[in-house]
Amino acid sequence: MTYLLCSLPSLSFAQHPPITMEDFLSDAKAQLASGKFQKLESLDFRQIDTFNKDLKGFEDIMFQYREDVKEIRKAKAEKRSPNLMVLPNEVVSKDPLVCEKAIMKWQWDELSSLEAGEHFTFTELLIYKLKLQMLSRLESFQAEKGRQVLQAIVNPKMKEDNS
Amino acid sequence: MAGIKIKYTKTEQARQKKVLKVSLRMLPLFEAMEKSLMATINTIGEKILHIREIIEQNEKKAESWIAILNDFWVDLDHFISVNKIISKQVDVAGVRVRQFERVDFNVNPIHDDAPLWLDHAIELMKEQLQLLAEIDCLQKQIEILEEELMEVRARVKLFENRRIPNAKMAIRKIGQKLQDDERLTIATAKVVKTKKLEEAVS
Repeated sequence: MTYLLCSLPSLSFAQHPPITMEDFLSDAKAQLASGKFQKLESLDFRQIDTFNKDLKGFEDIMFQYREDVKEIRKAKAEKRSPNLMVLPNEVVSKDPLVCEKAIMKWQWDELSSLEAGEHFTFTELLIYKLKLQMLSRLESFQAEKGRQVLQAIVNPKMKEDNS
Repeated sequence: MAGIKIKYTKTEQARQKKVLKVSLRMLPLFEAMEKSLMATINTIGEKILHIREIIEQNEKKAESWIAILNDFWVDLDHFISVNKIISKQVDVAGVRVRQFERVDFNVNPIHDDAPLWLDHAIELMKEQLQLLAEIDCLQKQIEILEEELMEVRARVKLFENRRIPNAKMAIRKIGQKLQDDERLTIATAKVVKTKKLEEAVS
């Protein structure tokens, strides 16, 4: 595990992913015991239920985050300012991209806090995977492709009601 | 007029006069209909341009965050799609067309953990889809109105170039023929009378 963690390139927020997820998992598979690798492989940022006890702290933070997201939606529907528990106020920005990046930066910082004091542990490796997932996601935010997604959805074949 | 056989009778003359009278009365009506259809088509065309401008404005407004629509963590198709376009039948410039009312969307509920940008994206897509559906409906209206316009123009040309000139010519020719016949009858009668007088004298 120490060798694996030492061999991985360091990650910083909003950078181009220095390693692909496939390469990372391939390295991990070669150097981890199968039980630990399965835990690492099944871990997914989008599914809190895949978080194990090594990430208990982050799981709690993600629950609070969900509450905040719920509160933002509720406040928007009720046309009032949201009362946020954990998220910074800038996430209520009108620009959805700025908002999402602010949320992701906050999540990144929370993961970094969790990482503090964890040297060459399995938790550090799990956090590495989550951060790598975040970088891949950030990398997918591309204007031209976004435009294509919009066009693909707004120009479908439509059924007309002639009744 | 070539190839058309005219009956040189007073009845035919009366019929042609009636045709001319009706044609002269109908022509302005068709001309007015033509103008009305052209104006309506132009108005609809302008409306389409206006809607296109709104679509572009919406795209410009979203330009700063459009990149996020490519977020591979979210499948937008799953959240919104068009079920059907609701329209109603109306009369536009005397022609039956379908008028756009609204779009019926299939919108799947957004879960609490779905990213916040999804709300904005769905709003944007709903608006763009509504506007595009309205354009689609208006374009179909233009197609129908243009077909009608072609028919009306054909009728105007028919009245201007065929019916009215033909009726006028027929009336004139029948009139001339009837006049000639009358003169011939009088002349013949005079000849007969003169011959009878000559026979009586001799």
